[in-house]
Amino acid sequence: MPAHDDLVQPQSTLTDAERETYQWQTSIPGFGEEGQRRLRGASVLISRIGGVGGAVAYSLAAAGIGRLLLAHHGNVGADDLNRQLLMTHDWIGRSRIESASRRLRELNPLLVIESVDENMTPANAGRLVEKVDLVVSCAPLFEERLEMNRAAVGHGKPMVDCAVYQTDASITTILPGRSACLACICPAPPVAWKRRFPVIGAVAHMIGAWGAMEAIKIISGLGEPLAGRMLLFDMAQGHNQSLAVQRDPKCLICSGVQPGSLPVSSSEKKS
Amino acid sequence: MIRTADENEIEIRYSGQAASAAGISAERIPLKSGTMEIVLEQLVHRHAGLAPFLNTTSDAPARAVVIFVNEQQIDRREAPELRIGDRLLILAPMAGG
Repeated sequence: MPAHDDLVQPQSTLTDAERETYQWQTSIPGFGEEGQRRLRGASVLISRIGGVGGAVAYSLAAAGIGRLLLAHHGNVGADDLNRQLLMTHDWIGRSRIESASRRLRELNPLLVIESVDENMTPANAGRLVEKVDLVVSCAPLFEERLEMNRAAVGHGKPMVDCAVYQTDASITTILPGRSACLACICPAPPVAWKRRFPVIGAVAHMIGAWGAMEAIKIISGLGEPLAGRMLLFDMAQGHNQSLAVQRDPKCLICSGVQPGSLPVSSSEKKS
Repeated sequence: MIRTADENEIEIRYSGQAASAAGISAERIPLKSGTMEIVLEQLVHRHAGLAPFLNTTSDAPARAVVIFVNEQQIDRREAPELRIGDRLLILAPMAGG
């Protein structure tokens, strides 16, 4: 999938230090130094940086993303530590967003981090989404996820949706106007869903790594994003599925949305 | 682990909260009718915990689950028909954490 010039412009030539740091990935065909330069020029919003979002942030920081906008309200609790890799025991009772920023800067001192001690709401979603090139949805509440979906579709920003429950996980990528949005799949918060649900950290980290890879693919033009597809993992049974998700022609969020300045897949470009 | 298929069966998989409600992640059941709503009633009869997810008595289409047949998302309101050998997935959407 060629990167779309309107999404992220490649930044200036890599420094010698950057070439050394990223040499294990810049040799990948279809990524290369241009992909690295696009990553450095890109900004990504991650909604909540817990078990899933923390893994997304960590992998993107390691890969050399230029700027992360992290949104997560509240302080670290002891019960966060089974899965939230950016939180540490000595930080219990202190700000999650500060803990995450500290850990990410240790990994990548060149990373620009903007942190917001807020979760997604109707009041802030549009403002936050507008500031970035791509968003990754990792919040535990469907109200937040659907709000982020609404804002991403409204602003024409690609959104990667990562989710977990117990030992199951799912991921899909939303290219507004091109593929099913979250509301096409789940138009309203499921009534049985609870804020606190069981999950093993390794499941959250696995799907977080997938989420980071989706962001890297869309930004750099490597491979094909999971637009119109959902990957579903049953990690307990070792069963995975690739599912086709459909746009709902009556979707209240995306039914009237046309493809904007978004990545064009190689198959689309050839046709 | 799901057993080998017999004739006249379909495969059912459950994911997310639907798997918790069913108490299993996969099974095979005989296809008594190809009508989706009848199959869903059959599943509720086998696993009572699925009732809130597959409520077939509500006027509004159930929005607690997403249903896939042979890996394709389907619209339950369009009353798709099932055939022997089909793979049905009942997915209760998940979130982050």
